[in-house]
Order: sequence, then C-alpha cells, then structure tokens
Amino acid sequence: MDTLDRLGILAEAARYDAACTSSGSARGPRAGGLGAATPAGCCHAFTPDGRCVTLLKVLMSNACTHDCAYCVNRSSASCERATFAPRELAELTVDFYRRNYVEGLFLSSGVLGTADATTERMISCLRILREDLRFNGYVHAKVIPGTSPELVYELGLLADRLSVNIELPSAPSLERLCPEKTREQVLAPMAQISSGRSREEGRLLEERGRRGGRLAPAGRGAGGAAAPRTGAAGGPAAPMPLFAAGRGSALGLTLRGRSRVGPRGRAFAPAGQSTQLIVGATPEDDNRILTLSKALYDRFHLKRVFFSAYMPMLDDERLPEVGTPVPLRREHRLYQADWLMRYYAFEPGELVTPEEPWLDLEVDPKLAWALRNLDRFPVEVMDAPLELLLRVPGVGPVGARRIVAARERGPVTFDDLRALRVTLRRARHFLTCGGKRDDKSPLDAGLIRQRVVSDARSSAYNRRRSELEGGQLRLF
Amino acid sequence: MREASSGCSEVAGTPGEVGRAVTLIRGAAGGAGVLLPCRPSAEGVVASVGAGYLAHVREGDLELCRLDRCQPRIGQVVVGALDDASDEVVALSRRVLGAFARTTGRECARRALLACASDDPEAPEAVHRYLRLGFSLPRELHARATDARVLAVDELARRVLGEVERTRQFARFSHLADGSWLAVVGPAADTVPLVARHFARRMGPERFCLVDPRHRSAAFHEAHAGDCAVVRLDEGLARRLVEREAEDLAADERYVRALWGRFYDRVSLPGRGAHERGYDLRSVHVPARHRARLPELDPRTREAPGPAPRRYGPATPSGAGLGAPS
Repeated sequence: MDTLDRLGILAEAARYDAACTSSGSARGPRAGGLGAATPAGCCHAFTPDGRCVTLLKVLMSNACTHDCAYCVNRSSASCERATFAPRELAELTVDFYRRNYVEGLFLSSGVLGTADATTERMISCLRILREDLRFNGYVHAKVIPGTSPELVYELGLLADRLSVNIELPSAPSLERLCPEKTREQVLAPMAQISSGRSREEGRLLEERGRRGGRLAPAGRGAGGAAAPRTGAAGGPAAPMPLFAAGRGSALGLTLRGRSRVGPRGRAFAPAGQSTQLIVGATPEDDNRILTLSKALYDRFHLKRVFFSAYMPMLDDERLPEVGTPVPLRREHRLYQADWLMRYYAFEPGELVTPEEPWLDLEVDPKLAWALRNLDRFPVEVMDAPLELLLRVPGVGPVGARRIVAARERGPVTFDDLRALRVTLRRARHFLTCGGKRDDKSPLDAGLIRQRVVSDARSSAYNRRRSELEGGQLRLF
Repeated sequence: MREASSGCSEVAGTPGEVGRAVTLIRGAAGGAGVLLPCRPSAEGVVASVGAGYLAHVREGDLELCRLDRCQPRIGQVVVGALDDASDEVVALSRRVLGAFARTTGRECARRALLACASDDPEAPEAVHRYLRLGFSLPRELHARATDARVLAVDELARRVLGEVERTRQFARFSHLADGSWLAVVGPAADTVPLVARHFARRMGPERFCLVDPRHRSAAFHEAHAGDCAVVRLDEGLARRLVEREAEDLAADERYVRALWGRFYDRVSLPGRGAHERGYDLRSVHVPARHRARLPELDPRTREAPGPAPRRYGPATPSGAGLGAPS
C-alpha cells in the first residue's frame, strides 16, 4: 500500500465531516515560510456533490477503537484500514499547497488506541508541517473527546481552528449511539478552547492598553458574549461603507457580533472553534437543534455549527433503515436558519417553536418568517431601519446598505432596487417605495403567500428534491 | 482635476507621447467628436482620460474604446492610442488616479482600477464617464449608488473581482524540472496583475511564473521576493511559457497530480450529485474556461503515475493501518 492507496482510503473515510472552511485566520507570510492565511479563505475545487474543497481533508487513521453506530469507521465495520505516517501527511499537504490545490490541512482521526495517543500522532504531524517544512498556511484540527487538556492546548498552538464534534443533538442519543463517548467528554474541550481564547483575548487587550492601542468602542469582553452591531435604528451606527459591496466580505456588513480581538496576534486557535452534529439519525426536531446551536454559540463562542444529514448505510436497529435518507433540504434549511441566527440576529424562537418544531422544506426560513409575520409588512424603503430591511426576503446585507446609501440622495424606486441588485422577485411583496407597492405584487395577503410559495416550489432544487423524496418525507 | 489641468501647457508643450496626443485631441475636438482607442490596461485607460482633460475637451466630445474594438461613427476623428508602456503615460495615469482617489475616496479609485481590467468592450468609456463624474462631484460619488455611470463601473468591477477570485481558486501550479513552478491561466479579465501579490505571499520561498496567454501578461516571482514582476509578453514568449507546462515537468509532478485526482474522486458524498440536486453546482462555480486546466477534471491525471517520491516514505503491506500505525 503506497501513499496513493492510503490517501484514497483516508479521504473517503473523512468525507462525512462537513466542516471544510479555511476562513477566520489572518496571517501574513513569514520569512522562509511557505504560505499565509486570509480571513475569507479560498475554495479550490468543487466536487460532483457540490461541496467546495478548500483543505486536504483526511483522517490520520481510520483504525478506531470506538464503535459509534452511525460511523463508517467504527471498530466493528469491515472496511480497509490505513494510517498515515506523520511526515507522509505533512509532505502531502505541502505538495498540494504549492500547486494551489488547497489552503491547508483538515486533520481528524479515528481513535488509535486512546485519545491521547491519537492526538500525539496528530501533533507530531503538525510539528513536522509547521517546524520542519515551515508551513504557514491554514490548519484545522479535530479534538478527540477524552484528550488531555495539555494536548488540546498543544494542538491549539499548531492549528488555526479546533473543532470538537458534538455528534448528536442530545445526551440520551449520544449515549445510545456512541457508547464510548459522554456529553462531558465532548463539552470539556469545548469549554477549554473557549476559556483559552478568552484568556488570550484578555491578555492581548491588556497589552494593547499598555501600548496605548485603540480598543473597539463596543464588543465582548474577555469571555463575554459578542455585542451585535447596530445600525440606522438602534444605537451607534456601524460606519457606512462607500459602496456596500466589493471591498472585503459582505459579512462585515451584517448584524453579526464581533470580537474585540481578531485572529491577528493570537497564538491559540486563532480561527476559533466549530462543531458538527448529525441530523436525522435520531428523532430530535429542528427546534431542538437550533436551540442547541444557539446555546453553543452563546456558551462556547463557536464560529460555526455544521450539520450533516444522516445517510443510512449501515444496518442497525438503533438507526433509520438503509434506503431512507434524511431530506437534504432539511440540512439546507438548518444551514439557512443558522445563518439567520448568526448574521441577521434572528432568535431560534422566531424560526421554530415547540408547537411548530420543523422548518418548512419548501420555503427558506426567512421567507417563512415573513409569511408568518405579514402584519409587519410592507416596509417603506425610504425610512425603514437597517435591521428591518435585513428582515425583508430578498434583501441581504449588501442590498440593505446600498438602499440606505441611495435613499440619502433622494427617492428610491423599484427600478432603482433592481439596479441595486435587490432580489425583487421575493422582495417586491414586502416593500413600498415612497408609499407605493410594486404593481406586480398582489394586495391580498393570501395571494402573496400563494405567489411566493409557488415561486419557491418551482425552483430546480425544490422540484428535483420533491420528486426524489416523494410524498413520504422522513424527518428522522 | 486641478493638478492635471495645471500641467496642460507643460505637457502639451513637450514633444512627448502625451503631448502629441493632447495636441491631436484638441485639434480634432468639435464636430462629431474624437474617438481615442486605448490599450486595455489601467495605465492605458486612465492616462487616456487624463489626456482628454489636458486637451480641455468636454466629456461628450471624447469617447474611449478598446484598441482592438475601434469602430468610429461617421465624422468621428480617431486619434492614435497612447503607449501604456511609456514612462510618461504611466506617470500620467498615476497622477490622474491619485487625484481621483483624493477627490472621491480610495474605494471609488479601486473600483475604477478593477473596471479597467475588464474584457468588456464598453469598459474604457464606462471608466471615462465615471472618472469625469467623480471629478465633477467631489465626495459625492459614493452616494450616487443608482446613477447609471456608477452602476456601470460597479458592475464591471464586480465581474472582475469575481474573475480575480476564480484566478486565485483555479490557477494550478506545476513543478518544473528546474525546481520552479508554472501556472497557466485563462481568465475572462486581465487578472494576473491583480493576483500577483496574492501568489507572492502564498508561495514566498518558491520561484514561480503565472502566465495568462490570452491577455499576454505574466507575473514572475523570485524566491523570497516580496512581490512579483508583472510584464506584458509578446506572442512567441507567451507560447513558449505555455509549452513548458507540458514538456518540462519535474519527476514527481505526475504522481502528485495522481494523488490529487485520487483525493478529489474520494471526497465526494454519494446521493448529492447533479441528478439528486436538479442542477450541477460545478457548472455554477467553475466556468468552462477554467475547467480545461484543472488536473482533477483531466482523465490523464488518473493514468499510472509511476513510483512515489521518496519523501512520502516506503510502501507498507495492505492492512498495516489496522490498529497498528505504519
């Protein structure tokens, strides 16, 4: 078995890990070093399933002593096993990076004996990468539940982002499907990473204060919650960009809370931490999942929660039957809802409730929210605060900021909105310009609902998914 | 545009490149106007706008077009293009752009610069009108988000930015026998000058060349240099550079490409392809012009690659990973 064979086995074994981003770090080139890290990251290839490839995502080994029911690499599975030598994987990463195939390495592993032994092997690989090969690009490392705090810390000094998979949406489900893992083993490294980053943040702020550096006027303190940015309606407005597009990331124009200390200057997990959970292998509803996500964001300051729709491939009485996949649209809608929570200041309770615990599969969550709250619309373009404009379906952060900039000079019409690249197909039903509705939008709330739902259903994605999923949707 | 205007007599009084063009434009102004072709580069377009100011012609009396798309209207007088490689033209373009940035802000100047890299035949005239608008309304351009002249440049800049990002994404470097690296790209805008620094930061200790034969531009980077030298190529040199990618590969290149092909084939999840989705996401994210040069989409990448380079270590017996790391 040579590197080619091992790579095939260990890439396939890692493909169920949803996280593959190279964003969140900002590191310039270093003398003699190879590479840099940019805040926005970069996608280098797109696979047939539509996922972007930004990192060399592999397992260090797919040999595993754990026997998690849903995992293709579990100890009782009869699959071919392989393990990378630390130097082999480090050389591979550099070879791919130089050719501009990837931004760096995503390193995870099956449990080779114990969590500590596996993590030591991962650290050995990252040391070769960082110290011998002087690699300065992006590294995402997976923390295995049960790893000693000293090793988690060491891993965090070598990687840009750390992640601990929470795996399943509730402790009972985790206990049933992952007998070797406990909720405490998962949450302990999350808490350690969060507190480690908070301590470093406090230290950096103190150093900047001593040097007379300027601190952000508002934000989160060490360990505190991120302060949301406010705009035209509430409190101090964020600086208005000259043109709300093109310069940097549009995400900077959203209501997302921002840390007082960015990734520059940080040594421990500068790109923060993320987690992943499997959707549909157990019966928890979307309400439970979004509430859990929100709690994780608040408690551990996660950068992302990734969702992975379970694909039944194993016969196990604890799991859904083979051939009954979770609708991919459920995963898609969860990501959209997560986006609304992080960047548009939506609360989980606005998107799902205990009474209506499932996200609508046909209509995106923002549109579904607007249809449930039609009494709040239409919104007047000329005087609506930024936060309200951001709640209009079809108006994103760039469009909202452009509207605010354009209306300062005079009346804004629906033709102007089209020129500003607002998605009028959805937005026209929820806006007025100078007190006038768009002539293509019906006045009756029922007709509006009918029109937008019909438009959403006719999208290529919804049509195809509806055909494949038939009328028998199985949410878990 | 006070600075440019104040330099009018000085420039027009010299027999230089710009002075000659200014004299010709001034002489031909009036009537059906002047058509000034320009080379599709930031220097060529911005200096041409500057020449119009120096000639004191009104905006409506001067029209810019790409040198390769010169189609005058009846009665319109065509003036010879400025040479964008001449020091005088480069200096004029910097002066105009600097004044524009001071008048309207850096972001507006950046957008104008991006629009200059567009392949769109309307780009030079769109930039001309945008610059004129900016100079006539100091500090107001940013608020004119719905003005057709602003929207035109915004749209060009947006498209060029997209192509800049795709160049960063899909440039693929090959290892050459002399130890250097070469990537051939085919973007739909002149993006090499805009991405050169990105690759210089990324590839610090490596010697590389990024070449775009379509726009005949190339970025050359020496090991440990902070930036690249961006040059214009003649047709013969562009062709020779492209040929090196096929004929002059290092011994390990085929094996690493095969590794990449294997990785790419194995990371995709089943049940999520174009058939299941209703459309192919690759056709959305990877334009056809970039696909031909991607090794992951090239069937030759899967051909027998030869032995593994020694740096990867020895081969191990199959199954050696089962609980016992190799």
